[in-house]
Amino acid sequence: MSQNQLLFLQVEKKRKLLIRISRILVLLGFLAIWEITARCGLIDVFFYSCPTRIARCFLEMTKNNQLFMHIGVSLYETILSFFIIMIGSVLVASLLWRFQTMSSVVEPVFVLLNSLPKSALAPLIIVWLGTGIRTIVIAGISVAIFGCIINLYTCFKNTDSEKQKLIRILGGKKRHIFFMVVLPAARETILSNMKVNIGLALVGVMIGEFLAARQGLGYLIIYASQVFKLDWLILCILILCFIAVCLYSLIQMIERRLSMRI
Amino acid sequence: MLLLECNDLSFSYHTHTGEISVIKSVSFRIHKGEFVSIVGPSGCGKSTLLGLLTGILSPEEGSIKIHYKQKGTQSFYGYMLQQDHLLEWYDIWDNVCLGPKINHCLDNACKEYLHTLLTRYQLDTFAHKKPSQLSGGMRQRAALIRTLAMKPELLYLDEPFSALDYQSRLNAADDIGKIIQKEGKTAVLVTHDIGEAISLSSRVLVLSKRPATIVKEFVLPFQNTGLSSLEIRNLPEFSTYFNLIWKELNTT
Repeated sequence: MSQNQLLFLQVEKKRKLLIRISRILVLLGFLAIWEITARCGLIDVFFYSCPTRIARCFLEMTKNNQLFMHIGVSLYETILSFFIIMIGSVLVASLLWRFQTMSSVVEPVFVLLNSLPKSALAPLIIVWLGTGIRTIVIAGISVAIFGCIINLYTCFKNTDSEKQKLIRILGGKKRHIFFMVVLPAARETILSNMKVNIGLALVGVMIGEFLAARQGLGYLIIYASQVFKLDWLILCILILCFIAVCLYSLIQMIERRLSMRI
Repeated sequence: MLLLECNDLSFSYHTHTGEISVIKSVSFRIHKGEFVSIVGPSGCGKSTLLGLLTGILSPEEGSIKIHYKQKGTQSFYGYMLQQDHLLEWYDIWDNVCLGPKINHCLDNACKEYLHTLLTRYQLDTFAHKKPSQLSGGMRQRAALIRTLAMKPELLYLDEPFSALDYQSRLNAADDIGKIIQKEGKTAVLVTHDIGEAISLSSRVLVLSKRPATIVKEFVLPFQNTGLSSLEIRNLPEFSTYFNLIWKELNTT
């Protein structure tokens, strides 16, 4: 390796380290300012809480495993919704691709359902299905699935027609075209939709839990706000941030694995 | 030996704004072992003609008769598209196996045949590489092997080199020409490149502008002289034929 290359690598390494340290400092600074202003009485701890109170609250709630139960329920609902969204929309989009005339007929329905604010549907679902995990999972699904179907169908439809022709020339049927060309060509779109949908599923689950749950972080947030336990509330929001980041990173990791293989 | 006969083929495209007549009473015959080029101005309907020949489109008038089909051929014709269209998500081996796999005839004999072809045309070391790791010429060879995998009697080539730069284009044309001759295949090449047509084929059919019909036929003396297509390009007769065809294309 040449001297210049080494120098370049060193500079890059330093830059990365600097960024990492700065990020930690920003976080610590924010927590410190929050804590100090709360202690000095500049902000009201009752409304705004402070890091130490939240930490204490976290420890208390973990003692009886109550917190983990709520986290577990929300996670379970989110992941279940996510899987149903992805599998469902790939299935529906492939059916739409297979039966193009039918899809022209039903396309307005999907556009309509996609543009409808799904939170408006939640009360209806509760009346139909009652409260419980089933309702919440359906709320989670409804937020993302229609958009995802439209995205995937558009992607399937725009697959290179010459490549489809190639399979036809080689004697392939629609089935071969789908599995050899359309689906592999859509893998990047599917992955990017997965990244969006894991976040949307969490949004849907929260909407569901706000309205119709006895368990889960959404329920906890609503309960805490009603009894003015703002320590709980802020703790729940922080946990939600953490979950969202973790789920997103998980998908990103899967994406990286796949792109390495392809 | 007569392989294929087309009589009075006609075809039009139908759109909402009207009808476009693309092919009008085209007739020709292809004999076994021939390399026939069909040249015509851009957009005259050359690809449409191939569409008719391969059965992707069906002619509105006229007929296509297949006179001879050898035993053991899995499909009568093979088709090379304007680009190689190797599927990026498969490696070269899976790409060349595509046809047999679709038709459930990927047996050991077929695999062996494909291995021989890959080795013969210097692609054996690339069998497990992705298409993006190959040069343009190699990709063309792989695409040709994919076409040959079905042991076709007749090869249709639809401007198969048009996506390549000039130098790789000459080399690829030379390669493909040699391979087709070596494997004893009959071929129909559709192109707008007169030089390519002359250097590769034994017969050239000239198409008119739309609606396309055959205006002239040239029988070339170069095939079976043992000259490569690059050498043919340097012959004095090459420019004679070039000028003749050029004139014919411009007067139609």
